[in-house]
Amino acid sequence: MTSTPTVPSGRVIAPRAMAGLRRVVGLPGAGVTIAFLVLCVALAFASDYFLTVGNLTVVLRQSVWVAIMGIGMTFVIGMGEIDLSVGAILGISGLAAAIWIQSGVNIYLAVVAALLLGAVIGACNGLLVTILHLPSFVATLGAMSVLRGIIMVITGGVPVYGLRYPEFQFIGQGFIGPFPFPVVILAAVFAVFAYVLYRTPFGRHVLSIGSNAHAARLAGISLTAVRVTVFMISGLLCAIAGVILASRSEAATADAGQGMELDVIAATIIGGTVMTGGKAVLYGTVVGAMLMTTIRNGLNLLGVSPLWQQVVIGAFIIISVAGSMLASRRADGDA
Amino acid sequence: MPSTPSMPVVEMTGIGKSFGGVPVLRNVDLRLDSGTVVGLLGANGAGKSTLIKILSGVYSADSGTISVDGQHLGSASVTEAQRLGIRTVHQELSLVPSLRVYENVYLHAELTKGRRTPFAPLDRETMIRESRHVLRDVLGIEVDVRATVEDLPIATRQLVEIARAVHERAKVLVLDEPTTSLEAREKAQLFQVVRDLRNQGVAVIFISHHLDEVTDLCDRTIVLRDGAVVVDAPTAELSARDMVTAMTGRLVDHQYPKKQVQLGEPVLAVDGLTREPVYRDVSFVLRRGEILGVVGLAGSGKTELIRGLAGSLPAASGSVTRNGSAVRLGSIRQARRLSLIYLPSDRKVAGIFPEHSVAWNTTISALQRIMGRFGLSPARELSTVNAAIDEYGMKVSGPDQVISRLSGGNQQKVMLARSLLGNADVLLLEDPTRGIDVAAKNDVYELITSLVEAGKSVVLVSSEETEVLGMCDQILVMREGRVRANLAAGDTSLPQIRLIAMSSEGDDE
Repeated sequence: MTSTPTVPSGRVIAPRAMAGLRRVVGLPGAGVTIAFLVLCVALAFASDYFLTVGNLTVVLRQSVWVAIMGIGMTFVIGMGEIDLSVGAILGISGLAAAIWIQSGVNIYLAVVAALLLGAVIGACNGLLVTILHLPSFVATLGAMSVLRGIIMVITGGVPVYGLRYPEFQFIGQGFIGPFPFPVVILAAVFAVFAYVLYRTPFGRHVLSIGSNAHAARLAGISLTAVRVTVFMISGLLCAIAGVILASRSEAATADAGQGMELDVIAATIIGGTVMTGGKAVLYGTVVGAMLMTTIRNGLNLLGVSPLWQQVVIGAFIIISVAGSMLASRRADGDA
Repeated sequence: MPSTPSMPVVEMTGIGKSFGGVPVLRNVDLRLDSGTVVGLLGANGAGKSTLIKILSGVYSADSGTISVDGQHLGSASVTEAQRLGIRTVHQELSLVPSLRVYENVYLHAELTKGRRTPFAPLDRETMIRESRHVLRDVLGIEVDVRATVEDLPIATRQLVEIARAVHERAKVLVLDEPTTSLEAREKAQLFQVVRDLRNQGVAVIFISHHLDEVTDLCDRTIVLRDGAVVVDAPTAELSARDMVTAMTGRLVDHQYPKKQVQLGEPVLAVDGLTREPVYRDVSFVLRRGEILGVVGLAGSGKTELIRGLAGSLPAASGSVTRNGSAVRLGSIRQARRLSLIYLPSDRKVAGIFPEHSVAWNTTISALQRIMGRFGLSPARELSTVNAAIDEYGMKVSGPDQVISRLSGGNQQKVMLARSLLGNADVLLLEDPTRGIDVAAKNDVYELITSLVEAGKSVVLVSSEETEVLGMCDQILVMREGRVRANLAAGDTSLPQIRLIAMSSEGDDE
């Protein structure tokens, strides 16, 4: 820490160390990171198996879908909107890829087409929000239902099986060096969108709209263009997650991604992105996704019934968000 | 002025308050007599707001005592303060916009048929009748009490809020800068109401940045500076200069740092600009280096006109010429591309990004200027913003300071810096000094002056006629959507402008 030999007494060091600590804790996303590390240490003591390479790879892999979709959600929530259709977009893009591949379309073409499909659906969400002025909650709630319905109509509830093509399997199951390919995709997606969010005018425009849309309009920002693009990004990232999931399970099921929108929103909020928009913590979302997977994984290792896991995760969401809001309220102080 | 022997209603003695170790109030005594109006003056940060928040039970004082009608007012409780008859009309109105006027007047005191329980049926007829009585007969305002508050102009909403306090028989009425969004006529109406209330024995605390208002209305004036009372005297014994001196602690020689600038070629000419029903047939020519003032009452169309020029309330007909070529101002982005940049009067609602830094707020309209090799460059942003902080005299702890922590004056400097970085050539300023203290106002005037010296042009819409008289070269006076007079600032006077704005007697033949 900051203790130096010239400081004469512990009484002087302590407040300084405390101030430093407080500054670290006050950093965006620090809460979720600390919680994640504490949980990892605790689980390492509680279970011999937790801290094995095999298990950690499993944890990371299982976080990939929520993390990738969460990156899109971080943009959406940072802009002051919400996207409830992410799970359904994941489902329909994975299904589309599966059907096209099974009907003989070139595998790469099918994957690209599925990604485009996700982006187009996202853009439609954006148009509903901007052109029809629907609240995003309503627009994407409707979209979720429509897409889930279409999935059921197409499949009749019967999964599309047997996607055993090496090129396609590689997406969800392959390795590049020691790294699972989905993790590589996550890293690439994170790098690209961290750059977009923090280092481009577009990223600032997104957060400005979330902070004060009226002021953003007067500052010359095109609200329509930015909003449609953000929903499109969200759709695209869901499609990426959908293709990875279809590849990993070598099938597209009718219920793929069902309920995942809530995990994605939870990861984003736990990660420190403000629900009302304006501030976004991209790495926090990824850590939030890993944290939720780790809780599930850890509870499994400890033999806790899956039925109780929901309770623990729900309680964790409430506690962590309440804690971070309390901290930020204290930081804002009394004006 | 009534000279009836008065009773102290409120006695605050030795009030002290600190926030985070910083003293905001030191040993303040405040005595309020019934049937008097006390003016409370002070620069922003002098402690006015804290003092009245303590009185109205929002904060508790660290030291000192408060008694109301001899009863001791203990720790902070808004309910308790209200029970003792202390009512505050805050600058940010506390009406519920989606409710109707009468529902707001009776908010939290709803009349019911039969017993007063939370689930008893509402007695709408009586509430409507009584609200109408208070508004029309007591306050003299014509307003449909069944109108939804969000559909009313700001000035009317404020009077509705005062109506609520009056209706609840306030003993002490605190008006926190009630005139900032009022025009002369509504101000006169408000003052009449305040005088009536005083004559009925109400004690009024009147907070304002306008010295003429204080002189006009208040029996006694208290000036706070750095959390302490520096003046407490009958208003009649104080000149405006005394008040300013007490507030700032130094002599302010001339309030308007206007400099004569050589006017250049026309940069913006509009002819017959019309958007029914808010403004019609507006024509003027703005030249390089010129400040064009627009004055008029609320509803005269002046704010709509400037929003028309800004592209947010585009004109339906009429022509616009920018630097000699015909253009359209159909959207905000179109106007911005022509370097017409609009600064709204309501910084909180339409100006700042509150949770972001000074740097973010300064550069948001000009991000292409801080692009480096890997996207936005923090180093370039820092140097750009540091330069702006110096140039505009922002009092900030650094580029990282969160903007919502700044005073109104400093926020306005950030807004000006943002416009200029965004290549403003014609600045459209709407009440740029609303709600900011005297010293900061002067800074803003000096900035405007240096901008026109640098060859920019300004359209200044203001509800303060003296500001327009002091700063502008050309003045448009609007009434009922039309320009009634186009005056050279040197050839006119405050009474002439007011006459034109307020009645048809002022019109030319």
